[in-house]
Amino acid sequence: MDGQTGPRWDLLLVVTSDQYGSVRFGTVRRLIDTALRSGHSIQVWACGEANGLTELGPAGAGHSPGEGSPAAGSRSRGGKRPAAEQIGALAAGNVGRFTWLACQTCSGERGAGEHVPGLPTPSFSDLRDYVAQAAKTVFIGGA
Amino acid sequence: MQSVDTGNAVPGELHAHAQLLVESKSPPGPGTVSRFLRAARHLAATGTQTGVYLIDDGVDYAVSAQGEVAWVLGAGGRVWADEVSLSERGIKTGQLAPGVVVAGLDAIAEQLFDPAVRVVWH
Repeated sequence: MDGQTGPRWDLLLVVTSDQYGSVRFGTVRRLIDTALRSGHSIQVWACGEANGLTELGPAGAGHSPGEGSPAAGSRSRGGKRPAAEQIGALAAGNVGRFTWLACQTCSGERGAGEHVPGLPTPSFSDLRDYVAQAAKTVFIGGA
Repeated sequence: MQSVDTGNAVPGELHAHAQLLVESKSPPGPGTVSRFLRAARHLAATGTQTGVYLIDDGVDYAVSAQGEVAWVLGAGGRVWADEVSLSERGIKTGQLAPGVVVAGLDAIAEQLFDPAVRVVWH
């Protein structure tokens, strides 16, 4: 946390639905694009399957991110997942307007590997601070 | 893209107590009723400015002229259906229940990011 007062981000989107971390990742991507096009800032807090989207660990390590969704989670020939590439590029190109928060608590529970470099990996105990930094929080629910 | 008409709300002006309910799940089955959309109906009927955005499998509700969507509209709420989700499922505009408006995510961005509009995503 940087000590700033008042909301720093327009929206904190907490994705706990496994479907939105796999077969429906496209909708999350559209939400991010909508935020950026409309001049807003957005943070995505990624739990569960969504947490695995930015994982760079070896195949078979931990869980199976994006399982059932070749478009989101399966690996390209280069070994990276399309979603990881998209998220990493978006975050790098929109500093201060978009970031993807790979929940460390979820990563630990699932035995996940490293995430895309540069992405914050807060734990659940930090969630309150991120909520406080956002003007608005929306949960996309799930398990 | 043109922004969604939010009824009495003035674009850019805070509209306290407005509710945007996002339905992403399909109807649970024949003979069942969506409690989520029933809640939307009651919010609208009791004077809360209520909008329902149907997305992903939730657009299945948009084709029924007699069901929950009609209740929401009849109670004074607004109902929009995501154009991408409709297209992905091959649902044509002519199949939509009267009163349902096709809208992309950009069209609801103002409500989505407005701190005065409470958003629940189901």
